[in-house]
Amino acid sequence: MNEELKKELKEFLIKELSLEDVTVDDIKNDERLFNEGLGLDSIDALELGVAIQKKYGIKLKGKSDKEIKSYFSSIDSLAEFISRNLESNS
Amino acid sequence: MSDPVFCSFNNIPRVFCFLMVTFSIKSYFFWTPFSVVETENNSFVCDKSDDWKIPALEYIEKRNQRRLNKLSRLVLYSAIKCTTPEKRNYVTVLSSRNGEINNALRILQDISNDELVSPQMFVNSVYNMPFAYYSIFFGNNLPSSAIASSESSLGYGFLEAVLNLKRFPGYDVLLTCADFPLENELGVLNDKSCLPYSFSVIISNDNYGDNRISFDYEMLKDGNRRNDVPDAVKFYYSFLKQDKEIFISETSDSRFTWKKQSL
Repeated sequence: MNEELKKELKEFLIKELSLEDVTVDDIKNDERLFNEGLGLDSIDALELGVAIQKKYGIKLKGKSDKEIKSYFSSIDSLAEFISRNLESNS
Repeated sequence: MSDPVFCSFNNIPRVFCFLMVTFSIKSYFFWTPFSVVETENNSFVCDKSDDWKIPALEYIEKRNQRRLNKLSRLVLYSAIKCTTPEKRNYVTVLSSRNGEINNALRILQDISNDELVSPQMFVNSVYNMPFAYYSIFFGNNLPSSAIASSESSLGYGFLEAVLNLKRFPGYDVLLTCADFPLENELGVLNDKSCLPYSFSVIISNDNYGDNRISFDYEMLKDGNRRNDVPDAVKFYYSFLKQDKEIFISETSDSRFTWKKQSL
């Protein structure tokens, strides 16, 4: 998996969600982003969805809640979801 | 006390509104990043610069602060300083001339550019959001309101606060007046009185030391206004910090008078 994309996503999360006390090194690739783990919540999920659409042009519209939860569960899953969509769009 | 004055508004005769109430000031706190000096002719000068920041907030966990925008931080800063950890439960009133208009403009720009609107920015664009955060962080379950009235925002803020003292007897009112200058495209609309500040005051029906204040409000037809600094800044420096017995704020349509009363 693309380590550069994962690092970029961590920086993206920190910036977009104003995680002032968190550094890139604090976020583990397989750590849960929501609830336990990084402790993000539903407002963060909305913000993240909008930010991903703006930055990567990837729309979440039409995806089920279950699918979105699985994409957003960790940096690993988010990177996989984004790289897959970028490849299919190119 | 002035006599009621009759005037004509759109050819409809109206009685000018007049109100006079008294209250005590229990505590107050003022902050601006700049030094403000009152000159001999009762005008104010301020050394503005672009290099300033809002002080760190106490009593709110860092992770809970990340959603706060600048106005909320500014409001919470003086509100927290004005209250104590033992008592944060107050009827609250926010009065701000510009409010969240900087945020609202960014949302409108996103909409007009056919872009998605940030949910967080949308949440923060609600005018009474700063005291909504206060209520969440400190478990304040008392009523809250927010108003804006251009240059008269201090006066109308007090008016709302004293009306709430009457509406909710037994409760003190925390009034916070705070503002940011307009930003980006709106910046051209700033007049010289625009500066960042936050002023909080707790008013009460209780007799509290010698801090009893009478407050009068009159509607005017052709009032005069001198724009040097916001009214809240003058109120703090001229009336609360100094020995002046009276403070008058007059705009084109209203006159507010605060007088210190000895018990």
